[in-house]
Amino acid sequence: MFPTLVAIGFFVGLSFIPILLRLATGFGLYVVVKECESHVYTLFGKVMGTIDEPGLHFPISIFGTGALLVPFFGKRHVVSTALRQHYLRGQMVNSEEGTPMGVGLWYEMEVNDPVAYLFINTNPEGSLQANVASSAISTLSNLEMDKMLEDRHSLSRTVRATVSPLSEKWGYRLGSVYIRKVFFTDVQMVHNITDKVVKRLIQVTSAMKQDGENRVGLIKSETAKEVSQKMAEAGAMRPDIVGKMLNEISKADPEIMDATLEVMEVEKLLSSNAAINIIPRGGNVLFNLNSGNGKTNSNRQQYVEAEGSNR
Amino acid sequence: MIEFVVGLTLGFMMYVFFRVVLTGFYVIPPDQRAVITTFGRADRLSNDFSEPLDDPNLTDEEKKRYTYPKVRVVGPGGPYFKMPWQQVHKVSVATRSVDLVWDPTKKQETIEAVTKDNLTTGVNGQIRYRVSENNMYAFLFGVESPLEHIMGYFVSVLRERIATFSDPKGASLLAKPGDEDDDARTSVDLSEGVSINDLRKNLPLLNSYMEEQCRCTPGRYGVELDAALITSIDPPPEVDRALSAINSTRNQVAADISTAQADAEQQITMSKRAVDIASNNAQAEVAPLRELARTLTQIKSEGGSTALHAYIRDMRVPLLARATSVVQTHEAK
Repeated sequence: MFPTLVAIGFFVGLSFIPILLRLATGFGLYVVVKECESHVYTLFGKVMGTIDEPGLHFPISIFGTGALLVPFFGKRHVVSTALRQHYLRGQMVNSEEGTPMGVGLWYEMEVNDPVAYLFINTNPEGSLQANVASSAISTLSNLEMDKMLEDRHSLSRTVRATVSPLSEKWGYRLGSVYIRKVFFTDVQMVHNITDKVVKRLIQVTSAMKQDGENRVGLIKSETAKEVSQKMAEAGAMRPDIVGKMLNEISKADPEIMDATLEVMEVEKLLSSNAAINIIPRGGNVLFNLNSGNGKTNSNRQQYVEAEGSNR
Repeated sequence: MIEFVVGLTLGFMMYVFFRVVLTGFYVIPPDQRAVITTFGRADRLSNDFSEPLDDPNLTDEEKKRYTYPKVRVVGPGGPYFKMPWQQVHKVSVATRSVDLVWDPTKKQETIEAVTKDNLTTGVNGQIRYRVSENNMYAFLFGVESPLEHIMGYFVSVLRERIATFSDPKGASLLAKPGDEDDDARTSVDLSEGVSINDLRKNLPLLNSYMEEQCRCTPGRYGVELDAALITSIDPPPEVDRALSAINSTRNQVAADISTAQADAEQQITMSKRAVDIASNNAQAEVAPLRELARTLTQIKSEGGSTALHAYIRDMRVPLLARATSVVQTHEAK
């Protein structure tokens, strides 16, 4: 008997508080409102009020004794007011040029009026989606394709400004709206654009090749010019240096010039191993050459000098 | 009855022990932070809930829309104690990464984007993010699905940027270069103006732009973007091949120019040496001339023209020794 009573007492003691709390909650004596939550109380088909401040609340102190009837004749609706997002894919629009294009719209929304959200529209999310889609199509249709592709943020703001007033009637506040995606729906058009880019790249390749050839040509022609100048300079080097020296000697003494050249000629003559015939100046050269009875050494060079009478 | 009360007391104490002692202590690991809610309400640092976070990265209009209270954040450590009516919301503040293609509503290998010249291309990469300690309310309570939210925002901004991206140098293939900038253009510049090429060449710029644009995310969603890493821009295969051809051509052109320059340098060096060689040969030719003239001048200065003629006559004597025939006039004898 003793252990049984203790066990019963122990079980009651252990479950007393949870049961008590569950009963208090069930009868609506208190409510815990979490962050970004709204609790809407309705009784006999009428909205009693809303608790949207997080924390511990006693509905009886807010709504009066009628709050005690809510569990039996009314309802407590819990609505999240946290920021949500939705991605509306593949909305079809036509550009000014008549190009069919797909647009993806990403938008955020939050419940700012829980009562309107619950009771004004049976499907506020669906209605908001339809409104955003409709506004996007009317805003984006008949725009130039480039503007649609490049000027998305301002278009997004336009969509938001159009949809916001209506959505707020349904208890929704539309947050940021972005055109998340713009794409071409026509596969053939995508191929054509790809082809266009490929051709443009081929043009770049050709231009690059041509540019390279031009630069190589320029390098070669500049080189040829410089090399030609240098080779001419090399060719002119001997006349320049030798001429300067001969001028120098000649200016100093013409006789020395003659003597120098004569000495050099004789030295060369001696080193040439040529057969030498010495004849007097004014003599018949051909006659004297044949005076050897035609026995001239054909293998040897011949040098004929008319001996000057003045020497 | 006493037994029942004893049991009741023991049961009550056991409940208190479980609810208060056993579950009342908690520890925050080094990579986590926590926010405590009391009866569902987060501990605020200020009672003025409507005071928006003073985030310089948000516009005035955004500050009105993204209004979150500043909450008390519990740092790493412990053991901390909480009451049974309190709840601990732990969140990791370590940097995490997520693929750009991550989308809970759609399975995809890459995200498509349209470039400035309307080319549909694939984009891959990842973003690194961490929960902002300054705005934990937004992450824990204010936004229903923060990561999905930030990805939606990020991808929208990225696609918009790709659609408007052009090379900062602003070179355009279609613009005809003027005479003055014709020389300035290099083969590298020629490929600019093709969006896909511009994008590939300027990925760091694109990444830094994305980071710049996402500075507002801590204020909006309680998530700080640590880095945007767009790792690849994947155009259609035929475009990729054409881009490869550009690269091959660029290398070929560079090689041709290098060869031409090397050849030019060789020829120019050779021609310079030819000048030196010709100069040396001429100097060599002139040297005996100079010396001989000096010697003859000395002979003349010492003995006059007579001595000079005598020397020349003497020098011609060996010719007689070499002569095969000598014809002399009678007067000459």
